[in-house]
Amino acid sequence: MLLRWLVVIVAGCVVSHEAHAQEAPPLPVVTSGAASTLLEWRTNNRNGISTDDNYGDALVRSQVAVDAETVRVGLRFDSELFARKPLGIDRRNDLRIERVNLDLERTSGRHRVTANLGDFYAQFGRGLVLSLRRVDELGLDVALRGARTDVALADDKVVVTLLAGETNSVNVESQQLRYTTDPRDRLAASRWELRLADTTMAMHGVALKVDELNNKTTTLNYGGSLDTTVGPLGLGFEVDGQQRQLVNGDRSGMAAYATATARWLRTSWLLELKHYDQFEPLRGRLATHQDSAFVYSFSPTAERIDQELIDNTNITGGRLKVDFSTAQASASSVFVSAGLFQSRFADQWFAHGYGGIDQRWNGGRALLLSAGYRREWSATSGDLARAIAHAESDFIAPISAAYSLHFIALHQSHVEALGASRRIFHRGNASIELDIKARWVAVAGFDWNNQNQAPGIRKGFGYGVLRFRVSDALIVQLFAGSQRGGIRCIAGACRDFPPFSGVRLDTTVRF
Amino acid sequence: MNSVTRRSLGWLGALALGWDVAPARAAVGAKASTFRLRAVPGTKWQGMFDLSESLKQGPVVLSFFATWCRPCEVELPVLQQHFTRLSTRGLQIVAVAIDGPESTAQIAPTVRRLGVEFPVVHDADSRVTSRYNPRRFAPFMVLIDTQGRIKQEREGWTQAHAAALPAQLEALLKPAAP
Repeated sequence: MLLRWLVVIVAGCVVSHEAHAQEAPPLPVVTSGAASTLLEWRTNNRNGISTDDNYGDALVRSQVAVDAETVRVGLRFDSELFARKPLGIDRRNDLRIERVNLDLERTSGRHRVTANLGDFYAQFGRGLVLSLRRVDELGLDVALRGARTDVALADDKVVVTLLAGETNSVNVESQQLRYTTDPRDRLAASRWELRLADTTMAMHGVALKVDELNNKTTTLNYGGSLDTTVGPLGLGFEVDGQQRQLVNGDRSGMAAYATATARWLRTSWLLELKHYDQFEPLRGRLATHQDSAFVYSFSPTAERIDQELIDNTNITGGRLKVDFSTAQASASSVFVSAGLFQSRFADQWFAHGYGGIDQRWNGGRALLLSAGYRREWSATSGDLARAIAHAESDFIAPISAAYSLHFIALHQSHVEALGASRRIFHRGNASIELDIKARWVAVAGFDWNNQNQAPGIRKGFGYGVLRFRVSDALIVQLFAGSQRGGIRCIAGACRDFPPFSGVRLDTTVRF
Repeated sequence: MNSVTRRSLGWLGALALGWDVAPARAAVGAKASTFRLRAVPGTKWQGMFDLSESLKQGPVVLSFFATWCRPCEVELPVLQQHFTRLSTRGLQIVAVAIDGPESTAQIAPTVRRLGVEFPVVHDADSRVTSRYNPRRFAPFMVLIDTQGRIKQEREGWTQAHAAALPAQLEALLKPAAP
């Protein structure tokens, strides 16, 4: 507790000093940071669950950094205060240090050494063996608390990374504001990277030890990658293995992932291939707020970001996407994409194709139209498991230099097999946004989702947003209404928004 | 003080930190945190981008983007036009992809389709994004002068942003006052 108060006092002094020292020379030691304050009242979102209704919360997320050329100290602290919080979910009034880091750098000729102490993110390669980072879609934000060093030799031709520590999660996930304790799973990893001209080769290994009552496991991920560019052709390969020592025996798995990109005449090509054989995400201990474990790696999916995948651990397949520019150096293009996957876990085949046009005019007007179809069926019987048809449009229409309109619409129609019967439901969102002089933004939107067709469940969502940029450093946004979750773009800025119903005042300050 | 009171006061202190920061202070004058990121394979510019080294050559514009972000696809070609026009005067532009593993493969085809020729790097573990753009907006632009000071930060991309950008870039290219 004493440490918490010290942090508040020190950070307050630093900020106060900076606010009164605008004319002072900015270098060499500078404090910078950001703070966001959310004041919310959540009403009944009519999702059939009472534990997320009718309560208020105030969240403050602040981070401060002191930067002095080769030394950087960072501090982030979060706080939450709830009013009338419902029972059933652990939501706490709290103030705590979420992240502390000290970064050091030393350069000698063509060589460089960096060291990170405290909390840091880490990802090796494409994230198959290790990916500790923020994942907004899942409300996750896991770092490693420990030490990391990167040794770069001969102008980065050789880079060696060593890291070790305990996993440290943000204690309040962003979706339901549930509290969870830090997992503190022990992790050590190393990566060796060699770059020759346009070719980069790497080998990496990660060891994770989880030690909790019913979940004592040791996982070892290891492998290598090769990325190279040959003229207009870009090639990437990654092959990894996995050994897991579990309570009920040992398991092994492997993963291979490859990409090829090419530019030929007016076309741009992307081929993604993946073969995952019992290759599980790097799993830590169970989060105290939910039944699922913390995850420390994410394998590429080769799917659209809006697709819901039931399996990405025991699957083989690929996707080809081709963009065709309608004229040389044109801003207009037509694109098609087709993918085929077989999931051994689900004993299903997935096929997905979509295409569309992308037109951009001088003056900022832009139009995207796209539609596609996804079908999933039993590999054994051939029976339909799920089908999704989707269509989307995105139109940016400047009215003048000061006023601009933005229309966004997405619709998905789902068919799911439930035994002998089938269930059909629809999801989507549409919004119109008026931007005034890059200072005021007004948004009106409507979402729909009738997946849960039980009486009393909300199927339509309406909302309005008013956003005011007071200055480059201060932005205030007021939201009222209800909104289903997902990626949303407001004022040309896109974020992953959690489901919400109520009123929210959101203030962002950068200093 | 009991526990509830202490926690409430602590929270109010943190809230005050969020509110009391003078807006006029902005990011102007703050020193840009240096970083090094490798170029995305398959893009036109290859190598290791080093912000501190690049600032010795001229001012730098950082553009945080994602392949799933539609306004980013409108912004990047405009930035390319400015880069073509102003790179001989020392302007440098760097696109920083914030894509996760699920869409990393899309980065190179997307920027090639958009005709981007300036460096495109990938902040795979989000270390750089967490410093500059902690709320992970896309697009998010940071203008940095040759002294390494942040001159401007911008969320989003609209026609008003596009209209204001040429003057902002010209101001960025002006020699710093002694």
